[in-house]
Amino acid sequence: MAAKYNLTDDKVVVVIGSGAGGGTLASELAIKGIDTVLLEAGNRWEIPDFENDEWSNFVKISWLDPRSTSGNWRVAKDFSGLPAWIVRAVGGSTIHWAGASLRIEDHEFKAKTTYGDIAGASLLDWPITRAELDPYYDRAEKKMGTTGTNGIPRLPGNNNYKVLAAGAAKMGYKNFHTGNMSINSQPRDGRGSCQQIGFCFQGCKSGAKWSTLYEAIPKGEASGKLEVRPNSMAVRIVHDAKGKVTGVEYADKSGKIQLQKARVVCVAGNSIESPRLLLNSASNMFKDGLANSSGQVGRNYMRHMTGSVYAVFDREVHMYRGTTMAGIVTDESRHDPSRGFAGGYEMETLSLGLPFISAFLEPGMWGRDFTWAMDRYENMAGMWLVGEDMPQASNRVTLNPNLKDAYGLPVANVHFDDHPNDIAMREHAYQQGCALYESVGAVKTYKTPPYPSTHNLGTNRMSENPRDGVVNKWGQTHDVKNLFVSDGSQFTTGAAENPTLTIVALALRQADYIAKQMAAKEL
Amino acid sequence: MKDHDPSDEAMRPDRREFMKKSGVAVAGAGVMSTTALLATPTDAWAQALTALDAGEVKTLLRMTRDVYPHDGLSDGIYMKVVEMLDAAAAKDPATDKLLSDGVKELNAAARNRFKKDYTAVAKESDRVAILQSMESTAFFQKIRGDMIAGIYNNPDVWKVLGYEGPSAHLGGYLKRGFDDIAWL
Repeated sequence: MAAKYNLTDDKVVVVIGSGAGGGTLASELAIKGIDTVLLEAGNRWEIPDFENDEWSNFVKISWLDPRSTSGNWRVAKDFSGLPAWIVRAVGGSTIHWAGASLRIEDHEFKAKTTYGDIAGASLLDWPITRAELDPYYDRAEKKMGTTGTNGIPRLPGNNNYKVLAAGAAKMGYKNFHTGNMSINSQPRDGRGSCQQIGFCFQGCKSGAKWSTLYEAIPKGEASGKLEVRPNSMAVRIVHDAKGKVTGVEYADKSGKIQLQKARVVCVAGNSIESPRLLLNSASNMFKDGLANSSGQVGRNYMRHMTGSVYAVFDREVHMYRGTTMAGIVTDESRHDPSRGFAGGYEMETLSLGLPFISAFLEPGMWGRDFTWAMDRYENMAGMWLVGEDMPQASNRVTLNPNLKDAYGLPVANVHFDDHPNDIAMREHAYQQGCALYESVGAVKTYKTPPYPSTHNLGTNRMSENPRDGVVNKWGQTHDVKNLFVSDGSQFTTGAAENPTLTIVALALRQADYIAKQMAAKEL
Repeated sequence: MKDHDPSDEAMRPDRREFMKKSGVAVAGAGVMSTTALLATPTDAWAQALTALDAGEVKTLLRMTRDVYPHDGLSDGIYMKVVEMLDAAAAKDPATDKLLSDGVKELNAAARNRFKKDYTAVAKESDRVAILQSMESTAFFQKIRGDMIAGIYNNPDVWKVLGYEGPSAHLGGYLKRGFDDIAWL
């Protein structure tokens, strides 16, 4: 049964955010017997509330609070008030995610060593290695039911995959399949198998896709040690005279500010809200924001090199039928500087319904060139290109003093400039993507610019040296012992892979660490 | 419509074939098969709108078709978009002014170039040239932006363009062709 804790109970661990990081961590702590309060800014929707309707579900679950943008990235032009496409609901962006679950490669954990000095890039090696994280990757894949691991068969390929695979074979690529997906290919863990519904981004109606909403969180609640508080937007973390955090102020459903006392606080609000909360928690003792003696909070914002290629064929494809992202070519994910850039990228199937493809294919485009493509929607195939982008100190989440949210707090400004390495990689990826589709008869290809960011990373990065980042190898802030960061903002570098599996693995590892430290009275 | 490249026709997916296969009966295809809506909009319809006058309505109807021209879509689809704009104008004086001023500006641009109002400019390519000259205005962007939802979020349009939409209530696409591609 779900627990209920008092606001004045200062023995609880407070986790802020219920997505891949926060939802997993809170659940693990509770199962270990630790009293845990999970604050979630958004509502608690359940599977029946999800809609197979792109716009209507977008408005229902997305993070739509005001934000501003700057920099030369295309998103600032096309979607100036919506830098990120993430979720404000219990389950966080594990409701929206596509399910792709890839391990970061060993050489990517050592980005600085592997790539060397790259002008303008603030590269660092992670303070952990692939070998250290592997046992937690094992646990994460088992927990999430990732296909292609633990003897779980891969998903069947849909039409969009079949086009990708045929093109990949023609291109001479060797490594392509329907992916390592945390979507049940057979009934597992009390949930059914994928019904090829499509609409993976709108919340999985069958529950086949893993989400903290209906996997981790209910298991945590069943332990009797987890209270989930939806509609509770954290606005400030407070501390005592010694600099230890003591609680979290949050706005409840009616907008009233409450203070939940805490023994430990873990921040997992995604890479825009997490640094914003630390910056908005500035005090006399921490004038530049909490855990920010390095000045690194909010810096090194990464969002992956992305882009899409859509291709029109002279025959029907119906790309929207079935699993959105069950298809991958990994041949380009290697580090091979002879291509003109450091790091690599993945090619993954992606489809959008007609309502979204019209908005995203080429934002702003109109006239017959545009309607020519829409008239051939059923003949389209699509892929997403996702690769490592370079961390840059000036790519940064800051507080916008001129724009306040409903609680009177400055909103986040997201500044991003593409690094020359990002641009070179995108160009290469576009070329390869177009060539792949042309090899199987594409009549026309479209180089679709990035969508609002789904992979927001790096703004509270992990570092060996406290000068270089915000948290240590456990996600514990260098400055404040009982304050942790538990989401993708910990990432030292972005790597090429979709980040959710790594966020979950890090959360499982962090839960073990926090439990041990609490048992040893270190926390 | 006269101006578009006839070679396009060779590329056009066969709508009737699609509708047959996807089980959409012609009678069930809604407005697209309704003869009445294929006719030019009547003054009666234009006058029934509340905020915009009949001249503005006709101009906007012509303009919406020129911005996102789909020869396979009936006027009824575009009329719905204009109805949405009219409703927004009725609710908000600023929108009303934006649209009314925009139509005036559009007609001024048409007269400047072709000595006649926008709707009287016969060639689509000439009307498109006028629109291109106004592309950066708030008026044009309002129309274009609203049309993305007004056209492409309309299930009647999905049927014509070959998007089958929601599937969960039908058991997904698992037994409805998710992997039926046969031409590769």
